[in-house]
Amino acid sequence: MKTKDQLAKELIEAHFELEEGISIVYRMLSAHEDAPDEPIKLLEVNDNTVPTARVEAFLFSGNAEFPATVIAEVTPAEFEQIKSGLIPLPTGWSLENAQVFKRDRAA
Amino acid sequence: MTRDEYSQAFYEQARSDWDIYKLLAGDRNVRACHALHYLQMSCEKLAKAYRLREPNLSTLEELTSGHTGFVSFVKAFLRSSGVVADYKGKTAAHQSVCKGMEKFAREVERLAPSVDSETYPENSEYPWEKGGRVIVPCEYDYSSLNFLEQTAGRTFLKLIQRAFDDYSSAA
Repeated sequence: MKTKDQLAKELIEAHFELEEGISIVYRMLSAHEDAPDEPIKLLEVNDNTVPTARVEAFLFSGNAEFPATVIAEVTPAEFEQIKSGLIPLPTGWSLENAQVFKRDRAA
Repeated sequence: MTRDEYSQAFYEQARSDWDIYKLLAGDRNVRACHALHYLQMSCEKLAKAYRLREPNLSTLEELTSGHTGFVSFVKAFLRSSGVVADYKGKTAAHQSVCKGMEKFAREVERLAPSVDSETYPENSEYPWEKGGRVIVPCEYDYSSLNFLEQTAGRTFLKLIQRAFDDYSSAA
């Protein structure tokens, strides 16, 4: 059986394959990340998305293999605003505690 | 009221709007704008139902005051673990579906009168002006939404149906 970390990595790799505009994915980690009902939470920076000036995140149910997932995407400019505190992250999300996945440009 | 209760309420209203959309879309005596109006409302509320399920996210006021969010929802839903698992080993097909569905979602979102109204005044509810004429929704042909009657449009409608089913199966 795959670990949650492995499943999260698989999902992120699939997102990079699917959407060429995604340059970086932040996997948000909570204090209860190991709990089975804690979703995998992804903030994706995507050149090909429309700016909304907020973080629009959606919770999707899991299945037999995957836990639930929360997915949000922002433009690179919005991401800069997140870093400077102009756009807030959802409660409990922190870039400092996140795992960072960058697109493999050589791939 | 908790967010879960609001989420469920948005879902139920979206589902009712969806049922009316299907009813009206299948009746040739009903003008296109009426079915499309229900489609837009259903999709907007479905997206909000999903957003409200996540307890750490936006305020209720922010969610209920806007008409956008459906495009973001469709993009995220197509990358959710369930859909990704369904397309495992079929990345090209998944990519193709993602591109098409985002475009269709944008067309549906624009049906709300307040969304992108300067560049896209066509909507399913209120009259608008174009070329010196006032256009009445019930007399307009909505050619940009003809896709709904084609194969790709059916895929889009199936995707919405699946989003409804996934929500209810998790409840």
